[in-house]
Amino acid sequence: MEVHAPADATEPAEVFERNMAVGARIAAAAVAFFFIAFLFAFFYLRALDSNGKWNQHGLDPGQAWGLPIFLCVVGSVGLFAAAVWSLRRDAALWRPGSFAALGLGLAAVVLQSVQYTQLAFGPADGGYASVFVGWTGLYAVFMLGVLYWLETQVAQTLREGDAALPLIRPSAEALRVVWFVLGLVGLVAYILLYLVR
Amino acid sequence: MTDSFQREHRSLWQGVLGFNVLTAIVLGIVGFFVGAWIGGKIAVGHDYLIGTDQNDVGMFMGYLFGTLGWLAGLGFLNYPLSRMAGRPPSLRHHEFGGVGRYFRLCTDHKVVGIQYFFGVGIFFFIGGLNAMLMRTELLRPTEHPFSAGQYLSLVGLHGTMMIMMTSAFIVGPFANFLLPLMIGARRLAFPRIEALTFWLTPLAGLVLMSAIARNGFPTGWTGYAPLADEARAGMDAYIFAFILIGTSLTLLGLNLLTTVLTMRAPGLTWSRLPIFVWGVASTAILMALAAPVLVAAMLMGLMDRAANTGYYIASIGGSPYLYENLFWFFGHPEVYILALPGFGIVLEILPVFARKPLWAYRLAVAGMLGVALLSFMVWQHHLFVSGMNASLRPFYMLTTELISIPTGFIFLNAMGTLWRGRIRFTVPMLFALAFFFNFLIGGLSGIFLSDVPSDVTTHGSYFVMAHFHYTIMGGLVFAFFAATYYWLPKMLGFTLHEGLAKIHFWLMFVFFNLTFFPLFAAGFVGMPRRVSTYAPGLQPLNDFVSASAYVLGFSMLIFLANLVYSLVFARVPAPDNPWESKSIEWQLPTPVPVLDFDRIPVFNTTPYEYGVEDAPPVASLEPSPVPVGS
Repeated sequence: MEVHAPADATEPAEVFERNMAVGARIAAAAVAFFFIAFLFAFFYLRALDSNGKWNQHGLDPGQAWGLPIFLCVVGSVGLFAAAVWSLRRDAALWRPGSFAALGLGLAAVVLQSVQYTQLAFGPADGGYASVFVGWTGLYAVFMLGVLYWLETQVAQTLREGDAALPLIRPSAEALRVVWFVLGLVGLVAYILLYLVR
Repeated sequence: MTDSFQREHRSLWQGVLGFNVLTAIVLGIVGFFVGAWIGGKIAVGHDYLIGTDQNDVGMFMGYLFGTLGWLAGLGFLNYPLSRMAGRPPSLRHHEFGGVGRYFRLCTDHKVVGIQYFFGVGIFFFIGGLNAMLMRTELLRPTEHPFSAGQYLSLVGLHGTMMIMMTSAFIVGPFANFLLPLMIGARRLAFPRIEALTFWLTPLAGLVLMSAIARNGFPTGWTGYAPLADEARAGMDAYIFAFILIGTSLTLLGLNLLTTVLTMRAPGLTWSRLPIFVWGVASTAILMALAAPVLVAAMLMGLMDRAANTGYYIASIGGSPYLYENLFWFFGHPEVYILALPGFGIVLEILPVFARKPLWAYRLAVAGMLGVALLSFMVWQHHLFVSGMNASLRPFYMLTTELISIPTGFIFLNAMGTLWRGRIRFTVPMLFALAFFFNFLIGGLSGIFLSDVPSDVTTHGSYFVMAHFHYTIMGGLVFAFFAATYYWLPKMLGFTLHEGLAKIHFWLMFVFFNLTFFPLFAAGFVGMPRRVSTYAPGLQPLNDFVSASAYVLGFSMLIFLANLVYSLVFARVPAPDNPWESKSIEWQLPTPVPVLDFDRIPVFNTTPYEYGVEDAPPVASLEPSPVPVGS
């Protein structure tokens, strides 16, 4: 499928497509570095174990929440990747894939929010509790950002139909990269915060 | 050239009532109070607030809602909302002509560059005023116009304002304005993000200044925990301002790097790229990767203060060292975020006024990329005396000393370019030459601080203070003025008065050195930073420094007077190419057309072919149509 640039672009559509592709990769790197700070905090505070209070009471946020949240993220990333893949061909999977990706992503945010109301510990209950609350909370905020971006593409599809797809494709390809990297961050967070602790 | 992108004009009242900076201020203030009220409601019933006179939740919610109000007032929320409703994307904001466009969201990269120049300059000036007050305090060793706490707040505000604003002060005006012109593009890759990066910057300055109303903050510009966790509400302003600046830097880095990677005109190969663009590109890498870590570090501090987490609080499982590591992981690359565009500026200017090609172009590129890479590996030299594991010290001492090698490349480039050149001592050239003089002293004194034994004795003293002022002010502020005198005629369309400019230069150069060089001595005899009292025997030295600092401050007033005089009273239109430069931006008319180029140019050679017979023009500005990217 060919690509289009916005109507007020003064350059060929390929420039717009390249900008989106390169910009997305740099944005993904920036997102990764943001969460590397939390990764560093996890290992640094765990190793220091100041006053024996990294995870003094063996706090466990519970797999019953962690696994469904993680699976929603993985499902959303996977479905969106499939939807973008189909955009390059006949776009048959674009609508169901992107809509479902949006739904699963929102479900992950909702589940994360509900989990906070059910947690048996608070942010002041040690180093682990602090990292858990901060990392998952900010991860949810970043997810909301990505889901906003996804929503704009879904809304444009609904509003303009298949005619909008050549214009959506560069943006969707870019979002796929960022969402994939954020999904990887989710994987690391799941392993560290729910399994390693 | 014609402007195929026409701007509309509208009446004064239409301009005042629309989306602009006035509306932004009003909605920002309203947003702040609404947010503070909501934050207060959220915080009610939390035990940790009982007995305190502050509400960090309210403060942070106030700043958050104030930011939303500010952005809404400028019109930044219109486009995202229309995209949510499914409307198609666009690159340009609907824009109006006239002076009013400088006070609202504008996606023209030239307007954004000028917005940066004046918008950030105001806060830079305020930071300078703080310095004057500090030097007034230090006129006497024991009798003080300010209390110890007020002095600490002054030091913190000065340092934070200067670091935050100089981050944007060099890249902001010149990269936004010049980079698209230099690579033959009509815009940056993401024009709306470009506008956003600017408008977050003055907001950060305003938020930081709001700390004054909350008795300031006691930590200096580094904001170390645990003092930051315990400080009063002024600390909230510091944290939120840094979050805004970090976000702005990240987005600016992303935008600039994408533009350089994707929007170079045909023929502009990597080996033909102007050296200033290399400086900006290497800076952009640092901004995109280091600034997110700063934002994360500040958010952890925010959560410690408002959500009761314990990232930096040892008693509940955290560690203040975590903050120091994260802060300096950003903080040292930050030094090079300031330095690299300065390198690019002076190396861009030297060939023009030496009338010789830039010597060892590839060495300069290697130097800049080497500095960018190594800057991520040196941060722990700031922690040499913080109780770090002693076995780590040699590694960081080595990496810090290694960074002087690529920095030395830049000096080699300069010397090689000047050698046997036909030097024209214009004002930009004077500032560029002064850059190398000052930066050399800054760099050599830095070796003492990278070396563990000497760092242990000088850490926390005025020696450190003199060192970083030699690099940041002596180097980068001089580079900024070199760029200002060099490119301002192209940016604003008028010529600055040369006589006043030379007075500005000589006063600034002489009194900068008289202000800061004696402080090396003060540091060697043990005068500590951030303390308003000192040994009586040091009073003559401090009085001399204060007097020099006042003259240094006065030299800035001469610059301002020159700017006002040349802009308002004399207003001599600038010729298209007053410096006889070969760079492409000088081949365009002044003022530069809205869309920069009628057609995308085709580059033929580097912009440094001075004295080269039969050298072709740097680019063909009216080539036959060639698809971009071919």
